[in-house]
Amino acid sequence: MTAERNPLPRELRPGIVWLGDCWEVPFRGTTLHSYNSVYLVEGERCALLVEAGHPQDLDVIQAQLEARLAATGLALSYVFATHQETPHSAGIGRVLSSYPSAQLVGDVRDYHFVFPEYEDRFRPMRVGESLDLGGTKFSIVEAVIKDLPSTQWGFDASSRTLFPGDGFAFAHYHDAGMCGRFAEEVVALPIAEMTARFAENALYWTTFTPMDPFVARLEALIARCGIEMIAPTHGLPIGDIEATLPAIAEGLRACYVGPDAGDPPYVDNYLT
Amino acid sequence: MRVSDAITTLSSRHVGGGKLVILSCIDAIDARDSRFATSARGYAPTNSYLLVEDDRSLLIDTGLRAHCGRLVEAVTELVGRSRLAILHTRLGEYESVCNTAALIDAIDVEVLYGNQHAATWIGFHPDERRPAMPRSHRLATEETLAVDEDGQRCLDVFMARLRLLPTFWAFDRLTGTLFTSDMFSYVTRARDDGPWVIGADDDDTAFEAVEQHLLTGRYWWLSHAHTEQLAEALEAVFARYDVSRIAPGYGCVLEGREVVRRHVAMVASVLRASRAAS
Repeated sequence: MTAERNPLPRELRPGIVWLGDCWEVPFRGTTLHSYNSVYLVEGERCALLVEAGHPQDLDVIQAQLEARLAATGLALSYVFATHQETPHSAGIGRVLSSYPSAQLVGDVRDYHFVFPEYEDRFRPMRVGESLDLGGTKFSIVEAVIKDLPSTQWGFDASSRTLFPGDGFAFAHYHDAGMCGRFAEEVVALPIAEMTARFAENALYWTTFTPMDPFVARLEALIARCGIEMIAPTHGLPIGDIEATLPAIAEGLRACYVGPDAGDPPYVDNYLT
Repeated sequence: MRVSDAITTLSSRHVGGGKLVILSCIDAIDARDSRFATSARGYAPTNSYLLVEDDRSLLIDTGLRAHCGRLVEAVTELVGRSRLAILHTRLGEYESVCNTAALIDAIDVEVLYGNQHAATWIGFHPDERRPAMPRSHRLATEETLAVDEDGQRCLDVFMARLRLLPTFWAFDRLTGTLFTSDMFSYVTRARDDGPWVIGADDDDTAFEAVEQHLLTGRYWWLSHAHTEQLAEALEAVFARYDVSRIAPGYGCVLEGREVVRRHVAMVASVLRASRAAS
């Protein structure tokens, strides 16, 4: 992916900026695109970074972040990574190095093994706790769809945006002009199929697990928080939840092979 | 206590006539380590493994950044002037990749193995310059790698059926060692002097400890899942390979066929019990 073709950054709603670049994934003779997205949440007083980026994207993200902070004059005070996988958190060291007053917040376990020089800037937070960014609050919420048990999701109160990490993950087609778009802006993307493909590889456990209870918890979380926009790490942002959630749920349910169905579908060496 | 102040030591043990070196970095377990229960205490190794041949060696996982200095120094000394291949069992997790860039800087690394193009997954520390990258080899779901130049020593590498994230297990035919990445990773020690390789005489692991480690840790989803297929798949691996040593990415190494049989039975029982509960 060349820089000229990268449509990011994009301000999705006032104060929510999508950073990163497409990630090309060879898949059964074709190339799909996914994201390891990073989002900047801008308050009136300071900004928070959701996710810290995949190793491959760190230079791009750093340039996008510097430019945006310079344009707004905001200080980056916090970085929140949904969990301790490299596609979500490998850039923590760079961020903390570049912004000396920033803190790592959330479930900060294990990072002392990875970024030991910054341990005095780790601030553990639990589900239900919030940070005041000025004019908005960023809260830690329950991770419903996850892999590592330390996963947390984030929620921005002002924009009613959910940051669900590995949740709502699906690839897209580059050639169809889908990069940098909302899910609802692309018409030919089979979201249910793409969700299933992603889940059977990156969320392998879903192939053995009836997903109805998890879908119900997702719906409950969306209702409870009054979520209006979803900003996933690997999928396209979702601006119309009512329109797109059914396809996500269908994709999650499609992975499950059942107790007596034999082996799960052939799992490609695909995605993270 | 900051990790730099903690008791982090490197224990290296040569087995299989010196053909396999177990490199274990030992840390105290506390609530900052999500690999173990929050209340767990004691000591645990994080392991890398070096398969040694005269002309070429193969390292399985490059360990955590906090262990970089000791680990790179040890590998450099062991490898000498021969070339190195690196196999990452879980490319997206820190235990597998943290010190790969540092090793490339220090040693003649010939190839990086992983489930993706490994060169794009490394070199993320702020003080790390991205080194000239060796060749990346994207692993198939199952394949055999040659450790030495002549292909006499074979490592069977395959996508683990029992896994959380994309994970490769590997079987070293020469030493009978199965490298299991994040699985069989639950044996820790109360004291900081080990032993880090557990034989029949040292093995006091209880079924409840195995169950707690799996169901309250990264295999939390087992209690929601239908798992008979996974239990059968696990047993099939051990029917296929004559395993005399289980070598996890963290936690103590399990040594000897008797110990291997016991632990396979315990993990399979956890899987079947969680199915019954679901």
